[in-house]
Amino acid sequence: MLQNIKISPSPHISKHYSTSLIMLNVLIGLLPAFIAAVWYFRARAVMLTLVCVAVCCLTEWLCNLTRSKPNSLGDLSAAITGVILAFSVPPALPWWAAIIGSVFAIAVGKMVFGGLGANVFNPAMIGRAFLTASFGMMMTTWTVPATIDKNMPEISVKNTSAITQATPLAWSKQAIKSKKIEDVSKKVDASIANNMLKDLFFGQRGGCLGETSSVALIIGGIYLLLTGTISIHIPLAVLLSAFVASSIGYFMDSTAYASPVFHLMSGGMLIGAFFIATDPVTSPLTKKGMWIFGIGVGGLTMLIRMVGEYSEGMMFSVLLMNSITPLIDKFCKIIPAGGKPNV
Amino acid sequence: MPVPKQLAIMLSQHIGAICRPVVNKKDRVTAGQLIGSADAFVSAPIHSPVNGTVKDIALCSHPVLGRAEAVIIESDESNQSKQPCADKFDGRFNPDKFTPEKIFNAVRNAGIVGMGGAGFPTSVKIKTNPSSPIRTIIINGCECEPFITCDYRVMLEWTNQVVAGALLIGKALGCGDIYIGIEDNKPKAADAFREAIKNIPAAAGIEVVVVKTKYPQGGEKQLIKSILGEDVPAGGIPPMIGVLVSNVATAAAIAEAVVFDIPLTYRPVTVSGSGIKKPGNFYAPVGMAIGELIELAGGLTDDAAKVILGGPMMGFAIADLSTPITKTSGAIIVLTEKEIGKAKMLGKETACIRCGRCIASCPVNVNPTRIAHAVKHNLLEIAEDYYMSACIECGCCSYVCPANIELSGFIKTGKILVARQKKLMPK
Ligand code: SF4
Ligand code: SF4
Repeated sequence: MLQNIKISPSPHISKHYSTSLIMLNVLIGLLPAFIAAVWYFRARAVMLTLVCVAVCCLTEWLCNLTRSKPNSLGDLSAAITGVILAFSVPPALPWWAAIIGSVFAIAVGKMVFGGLGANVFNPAMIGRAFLTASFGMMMTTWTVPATIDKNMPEISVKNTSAITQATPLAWSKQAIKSKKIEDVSKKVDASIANNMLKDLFFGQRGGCLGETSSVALIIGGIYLLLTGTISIHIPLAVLLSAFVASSIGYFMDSTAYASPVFHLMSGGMLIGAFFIATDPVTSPLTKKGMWIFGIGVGGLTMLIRMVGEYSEGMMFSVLLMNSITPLIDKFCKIIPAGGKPNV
Repeated sequence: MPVPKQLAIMLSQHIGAICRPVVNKKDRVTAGQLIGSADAFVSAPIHSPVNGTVKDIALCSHPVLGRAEAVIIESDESNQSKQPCADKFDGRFNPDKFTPEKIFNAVRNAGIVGMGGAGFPTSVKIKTNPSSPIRTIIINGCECEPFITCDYRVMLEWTNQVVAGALLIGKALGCGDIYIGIEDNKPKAADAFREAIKNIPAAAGIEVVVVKTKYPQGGEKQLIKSILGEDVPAGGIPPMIGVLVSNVATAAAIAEAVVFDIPLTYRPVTVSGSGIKKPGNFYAPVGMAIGELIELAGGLTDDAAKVILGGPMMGFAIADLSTPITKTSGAIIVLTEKEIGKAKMLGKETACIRCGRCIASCPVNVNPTRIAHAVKHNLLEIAEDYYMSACIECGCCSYVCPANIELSGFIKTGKILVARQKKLMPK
């Protein structure tokens, strides 16, 4: 009997909650968006997601192998990186570019820092930034969803002029830019963007693979919140600050700036708020820090969308806020109940 | 309950100075006889729970200290198990029959210590101190940890006695502001106390407060916060803000000691957990082996994996079932692998994913992950910079950590290392 008795420090019970379980919940939360992606982009969605996940996992496995570290695929974080990377690239991206992005995301975005928990930046966003920098053209070529045109053309390096569709955000950018245009006939009004709300909600629009369907992302986000996988602070801060920032623009000039509802549902706002900015590793530890981080992500995204050159800003703002997370943690030092102890 | 054949009464039962044995090998002792005297102020004497002979004074397994000296007593046939004297307390109880000196002396001589877990000598707590007078007394009816039910039984069955004890503490300190804090999952206990207060005219001023059921509500700082809305300074103790917290079993022991001059030799113990065949509460003599209590509760089940003295959150894992219980042992909990969790069983720790769950769970609002990380790398200044000393060692952080890091274990280690550095503790 006594041989079986274990001893260890207290506490002796645990929440039966593990890193893998948290990550599994994130994957489940991404499922509705995956289903929407398959609905709108058919085989391409399956292909890109599979390629990214497989290559991310393989890269992590190889990195661990070469550094004689234990295999860490079980924590499922590599799989999440793969899914999120696939979801944030255009559906027409060739498979080989997806491979390059995945290898870069895991190898440079995560493993060089020492693997899960030590990385400073969100690996999927690192992969995406690399792809944007290297293959800018492909990363901004958007095919129409298969629900509009059955023969989704394959783009390749030679054929970038395939049937494409501007994303709603690109329209809104046009509207902002046309503020300076004198010729009335060339002016684009922001109402074009505002009229797309229904398509934004369900996802029938041009855009990155997994971010087109707002309703799917919201369902996934609610799942994460209900299961306690993420806390409400970051998503709320991101969405609120983006809402406030876009409202300011909208009320200043509603012909140039699209409505706040449009901004919340377009581009990477929802996937960013629920799935990317909430990555625990690269976001602050404390509640106060999470608020600051979320406000920074939402605010910067809107700044880039309304003032900057790019029509989308989620990726850059997440990376930027990732880089100051250690600083945020440093300044949001929590004070124990009852004040500082006088030691 | 049969009287155990042999008892090992630890000379170090509590916080404070170790007792000096006053009996010798082969001496005959009777139940209630002094066997270890307390010479220091912060200490409490110990008594024999049974009639018998001193077999030896030797090293025994101690739940916390590893091995420590104990008086080993062999009980004889003449023994009868001690019965609680709760039914001798009724509405006629009047604390004014006793002077503060009499109460202090009785408590001191009976060797009463805090029975909720910490084991601080009660006589020290109820000695009036003009520089920091006590203005509020809280009787702690919140079970300190999950699984433990002995305090609940005390509240239901010894209600009058607990109220009497509370009044005596009040009398000793000249303080009439008395609360009894009970968790909201024990409405019967709250009703019992309201009834008792109605029946005892002297207890009219006592207020029953129902607080939320949550861990660690039974921690004195958390209870003070819930009842009075005040914070005890981090790393400090309740008397600093004029509050005294006493556990219900301790209050009962005080009443018994003051009114009947009976020393503390028996205490209620919960034996529970899925690893126990017939969980229950026992009124057991101090010094009884953990293994014998487990036998009384039907023995271990086949899948029992861990024996814990104390609760599952803060208790000590026991390797030797001959370890005796002490005055502070409120529970023996036996857990199965299922309850412990597989990762915890294997002791497998993964990388911190910086999720912040440990911080969110910490009742005193410190940063467990940073402190533990600093201790791991022997950076004690950084650990202190993150207010390590404010930690109450409740274990919540380790409980929630998805990476299964022994956060509170590291923090406890860190505290010991700091104490050694400051030469407050021998190596
Ligand atoms: S054990 Fe952990 S949760 Fe409990 S007080 Fe200490 S740091 Fe906070
Ligand atoms: S709960 Fe565990 S994994 Fe999460 S931040 Fe704390 S130590 Fe890290």
